[in-house]
Amino acid sequence: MRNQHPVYLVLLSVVLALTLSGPCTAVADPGSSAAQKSFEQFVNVWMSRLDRIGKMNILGIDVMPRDQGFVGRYVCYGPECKFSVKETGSPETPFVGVLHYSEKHFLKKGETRQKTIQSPGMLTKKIRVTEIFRFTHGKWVY
Amino acid sequence: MLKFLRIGLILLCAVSLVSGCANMTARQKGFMKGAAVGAAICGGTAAYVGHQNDSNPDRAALTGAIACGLVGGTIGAILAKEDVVVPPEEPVVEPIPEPEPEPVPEPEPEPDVVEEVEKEVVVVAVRKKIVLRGINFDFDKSDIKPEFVPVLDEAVKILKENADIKVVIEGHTCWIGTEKYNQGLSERRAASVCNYLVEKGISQNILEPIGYGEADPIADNHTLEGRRMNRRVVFKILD
Repeated sequence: MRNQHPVYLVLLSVVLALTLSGPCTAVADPGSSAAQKSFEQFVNVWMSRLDRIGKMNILGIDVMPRDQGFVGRYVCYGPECKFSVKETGSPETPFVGVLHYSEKHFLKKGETRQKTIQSPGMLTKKIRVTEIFRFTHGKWVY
Repeated sequence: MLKFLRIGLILLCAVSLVSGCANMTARQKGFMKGAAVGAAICGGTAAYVGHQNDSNPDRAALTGAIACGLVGGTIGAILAKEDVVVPPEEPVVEPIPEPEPEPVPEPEPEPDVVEEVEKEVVVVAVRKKIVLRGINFDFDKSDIKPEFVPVLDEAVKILKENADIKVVIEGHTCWIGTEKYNQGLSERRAASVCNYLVEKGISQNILEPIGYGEADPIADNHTLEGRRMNRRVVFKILD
């Protein structure tokens, strides 16, 4: 029996290799709940990216002279958001994910550039954003 | 008595010379003034001296007046300033005023109202944005691939829920490729999406496709992730 172990291991390896490679490999259908969970994870990552972009916008704020002082504008996103996943019936794209959040436009004012940068941002505009993503070939595409 | 009469006569002649002629030049006037002063002083002095010395006072006065008149006249002519000829003033031509440019309307001031994050939202032109992700056209293509259709159909549903709107369809690219190429590409893609929406029953009158090329990135083009975020089609829903 001890001498037969290597033969079994070789056969097992061949079976696994045939299963996991080649054009006949089935693409797992995540199903609605799995797609929901998958999109939730995707949304968390996506909103983190938008948060990072917003923070970079604050750091890179472009301060311009205006009237007798200075102003700077920047845009931030979220952090509040809502999302949903919908089945489509399309074989190529079986799900779409819909994400809602706000795009917030802020204004900073001050007597000098430094004071403008240090002043708290004031919200001047808020736009509702809806992003639609597709789930194709087992992943969320953007 | 006679002596004073002679002196007075010389002075009278001198004064008449000093008054001069109105048409004389400055130099002529200077000569005359100098001659008059010289003649008056020297003539008077010579007459007085001649009288005191019992010599011929008339002759002395005449000689003195002539001599000093010539010397004084010469000095006066030299010292006199030439008349400054002032040229007639050029007629002042009123500059023709340039036509005033059409007044450019001041840009609408941005709302000065500043609201807290969770309070009422300021009303703005752009009411809502719909960002279509994964509309990744093949290289140099703008045809709608089957995998895009569910995303576009979802957008159609949202647009049909919003009545009386205007939709700007923006095409954006990342910065890979030339600016000119990306501009054209974004325009073709925006137009392609626009045509699909029309096919699905959205009125063409409310749609306006615009290509922005690579000009309006929302993320860092230096990273793969940023470039993917920048490639997008955005519907801006206006009031």
